[in-house]
Amino acid sequence: MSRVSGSKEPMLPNRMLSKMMLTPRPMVSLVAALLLFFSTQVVPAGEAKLALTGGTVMTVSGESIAGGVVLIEDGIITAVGTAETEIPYDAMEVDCTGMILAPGFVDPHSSDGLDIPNENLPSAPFVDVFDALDPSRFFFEDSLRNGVTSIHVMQGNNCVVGGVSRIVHPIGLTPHEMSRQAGVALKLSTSPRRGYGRMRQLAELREVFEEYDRWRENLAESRYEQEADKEDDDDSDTLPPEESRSQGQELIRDEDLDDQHRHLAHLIDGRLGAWIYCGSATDVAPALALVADRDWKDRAVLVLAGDAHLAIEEIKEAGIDVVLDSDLIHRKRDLLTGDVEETFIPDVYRRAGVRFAIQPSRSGAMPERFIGYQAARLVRSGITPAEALRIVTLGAAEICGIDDRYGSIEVGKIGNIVLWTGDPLDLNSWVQKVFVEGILAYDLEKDARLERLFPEEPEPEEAPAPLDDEGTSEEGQDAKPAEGTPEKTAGEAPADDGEPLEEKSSEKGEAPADKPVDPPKESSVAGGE
Amino acid sequence: MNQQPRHLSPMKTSLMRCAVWFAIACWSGILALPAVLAAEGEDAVTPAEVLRDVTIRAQRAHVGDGRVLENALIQVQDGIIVSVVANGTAPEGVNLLEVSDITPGLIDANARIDVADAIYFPGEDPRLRILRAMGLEEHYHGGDVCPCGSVCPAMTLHVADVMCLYCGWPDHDPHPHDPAEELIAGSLGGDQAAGVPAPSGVINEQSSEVVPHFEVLDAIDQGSDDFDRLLKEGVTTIYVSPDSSAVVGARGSLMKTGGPLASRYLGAGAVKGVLGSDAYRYGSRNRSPFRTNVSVYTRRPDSRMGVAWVFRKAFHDALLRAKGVTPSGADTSSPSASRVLSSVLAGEIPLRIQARTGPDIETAFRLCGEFGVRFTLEDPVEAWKRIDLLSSSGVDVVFGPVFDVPSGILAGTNESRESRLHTLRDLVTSGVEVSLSAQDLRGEEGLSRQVMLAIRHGVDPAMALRLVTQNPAKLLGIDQQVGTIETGKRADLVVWSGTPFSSLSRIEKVLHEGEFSFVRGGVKK
Repeated sequence: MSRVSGSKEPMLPNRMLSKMMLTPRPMVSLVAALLLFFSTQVVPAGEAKLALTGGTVMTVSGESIAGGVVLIEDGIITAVGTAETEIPYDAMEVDCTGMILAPGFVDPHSSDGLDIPNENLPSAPFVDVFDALDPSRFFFEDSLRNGVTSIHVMQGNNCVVGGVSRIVHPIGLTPHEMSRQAGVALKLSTSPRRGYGRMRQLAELREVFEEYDRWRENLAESRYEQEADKEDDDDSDTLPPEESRSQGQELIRDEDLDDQHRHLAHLIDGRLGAWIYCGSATDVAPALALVADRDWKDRAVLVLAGDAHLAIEEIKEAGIDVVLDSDLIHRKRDLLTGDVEETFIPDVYRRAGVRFAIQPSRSGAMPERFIGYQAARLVRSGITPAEALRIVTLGAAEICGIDDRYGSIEVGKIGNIVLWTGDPLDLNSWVQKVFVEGILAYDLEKDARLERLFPEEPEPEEAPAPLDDEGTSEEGQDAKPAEGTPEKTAGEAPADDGEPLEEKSSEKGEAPADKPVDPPKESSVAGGE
Repeated sequence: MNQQPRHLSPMKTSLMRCAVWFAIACWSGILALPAVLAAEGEDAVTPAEVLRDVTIRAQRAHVGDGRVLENALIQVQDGIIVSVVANGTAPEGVNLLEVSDITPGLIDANARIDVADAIYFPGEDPRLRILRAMGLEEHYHGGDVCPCGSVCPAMTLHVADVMCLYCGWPDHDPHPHDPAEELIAGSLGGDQAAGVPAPSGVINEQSSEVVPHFEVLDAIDQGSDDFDRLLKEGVTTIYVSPDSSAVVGARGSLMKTGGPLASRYLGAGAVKGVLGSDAYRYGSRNRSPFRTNVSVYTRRPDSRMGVAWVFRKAFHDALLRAKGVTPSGADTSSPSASRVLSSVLAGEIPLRIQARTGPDIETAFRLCGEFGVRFTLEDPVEAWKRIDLLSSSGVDVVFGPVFDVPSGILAGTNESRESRLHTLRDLVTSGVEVSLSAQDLRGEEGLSRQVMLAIRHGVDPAMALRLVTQNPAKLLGIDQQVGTIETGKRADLVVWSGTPFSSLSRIEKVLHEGEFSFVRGGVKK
């Protein structure tokens, strides 16, 4: 599906240098020196060889492998197989027994990584999110904590034509270190930007491309003339303008594109995708018209919100992928009756057979901030767990056009792997470790912020088995009536150990909820008249 | 009986029997008067109309007290559970409903009912609505906060000359008449502008700081859509606590969420005290009433000292009046308030105190110690700081919602900044009697989402279920009627598609007194 063939290099050094011409001269040499230093390190490379063994590997692209082995060399997955897979003698082995290995989630559309999501200019196709990436944002840390390893960072929706997006890893000290693919897509919007009406929005949107066309024709003409001049100095018979323009189109080189139009040209020649925001159903038709007009079907993605699902028939017919709003439920109040109708939006697309990606919530509310939980909501509505997991990994990667490198555990893909304590879609599972390009990027045991918010229970039994900490934090409380408080009152001290009560409960630990009580039922309530 | 609520008298007499019974149960439960319950319990339970009889076969019946019955047979007659048998066989010819998992109907002991349906998008951060109304929705980030604890364009836009909508930052002067407030008040109108869901204005009382003689019931639209939403989320019984405008606020109401409108009200509850600041209003401290100039007539305490003083003075006034002395002073509460507070002092009416921060929790204990009253602690966000105090005092706690980044009402206060995800686990393990509440949060799961989060954060699943069934039932004094799946209880039942409170299963059906009040994908009866 790789419709987008941008360079995989994080950033071309010469481009970086050209930026530096703007900085004061004394700085330039220093920064250039630093750049040279860093540029040797930027090459994505993990531990030379890493072997994740013993865990259940949910490959997403194929069958799950119990007790499987995943081998990562220089950041790339080089082997996925059963326990028999040969492990190189020099590989660093990580025992994942009891854990589930899943590909890192792919966040298909996020402006959370930017310090400001939108430009003030309505049309700014010349900007790049690179310049606004803020590596210190909590969002990236939280992404790792929640198992997201690839993020399509894109400008916000409040635009006519926005800047160019890129794929980043949520780890790194600079935008440079985080970037993994520059130039994925341009953001466009058919929904009115703030302060705009729909007419103005669409008029400006049309004007952007009409202006581009005019510019391009002029460019073509002048290119033709340049070339013609080179061939014969005496301009005997010049072609009519129309013909010189059409002939000049092929003569346009990359270096002829100016900053203002470069990304538009890349969009039109297919190097960039077109992600069009439609905040409501009424914005879908103009978006689809634009796509049809420009023949962008292979590179267009609709970013939908509000009641856009009402245009499902049109979207289906156009055969375009969509990215859904993080609010998966749409509520609409009937104007006359006052009844509220709720729609679980992904259901609409699933029934229509439209391929969709989902996003984690941006509002900060806890479980919906976890993309795994969003996927669990899909399962509740009838999608199989395997398909739901695919939607938030490989499916999202396909829509972003990065499925050649991301979204599944397969040989040749980038070693972005998340170790879960259980099913990635179960809210009770925790991300234990995250490997990004084979580098340990997150470790639950070392998550200082989480430790502050949710310290482990001071339990004596906790120490010997650190790996399955997740499920064990409860203890069989059932036997203990709530009134019987005093035992534990002294225990406010953090490391108060060795209470017999805890020992007892540990045996129950295996089957917590199942059946603490055997005697058949009605006895207990018989007294209840 | 003499404390029978005022508002009952105009109600239809047919209602009285039910209502009185539950009212008594409600008051006395917290006062630990089980004898009254047992005596009064029998005759009042039968609802007026005949309800459907259902027999349910559940692969797992989660009783609500920690037990799980395999392959349970639950028989319901006239809305009452008449038998619960593990591995029982269904009689021939009954209307058998086969389900996988079933739990009791959930009880929210601190629901914020949306009286006017103004929380149109349930669970949404009210600040987001402000930003949306201003066309700045894009700039909303749950994590970006102003020093006052709120999200505002000033912070999200990083524009130095835009003030925080909530506190006026960078002025740091949360004055009621600052331009920022007028901006909101002008564009949105009234209390909604302050991030206040409109209904809270309805059940907030601003005429006085001491209004225990008011009742939340009078502000509740019993036909509100919010009841349907709650039902859908499996919540069959709620306790509506007043909001936090007044230091000594109104009395809450115990309600059923389903059934005929006339029978939803179950009784009046506790008087609500609020220590600390007023969440609905900017959250930094108490504010003067909207659209009113501050004067001696509208004076309100605007420091914690002042709040504690108003609280003290109210109870002192009640004591004085009981002795026949007429209290005096600028903040003297009304005689009707004193009458109610006398009942509180006598232990006849329970007291609930909302105290979110650690110091406020301590103040609650101190004040109640001074007057020798027991109380229930509501919404102690920072309970983790004083687990020792809570567990040794044996206070009942209504906790929740569980959050790291606050949303809903709690997003509007800076008293929600030091929450911890281990609070609930620690409360439970230290033996505190906790009920879990979602407050105003709705959405796909509402209260059951809170249980999900409790389980994720270390509460044993069986215990977590108790936090929304048996515990609140006990707290509210209705544990003889609801809270568990046991013989004689009201048939408020929630049918799940799989393991209850797993993120992969959901509520399929909700029975309210034996009647299907919600069936997923089906027509609501």
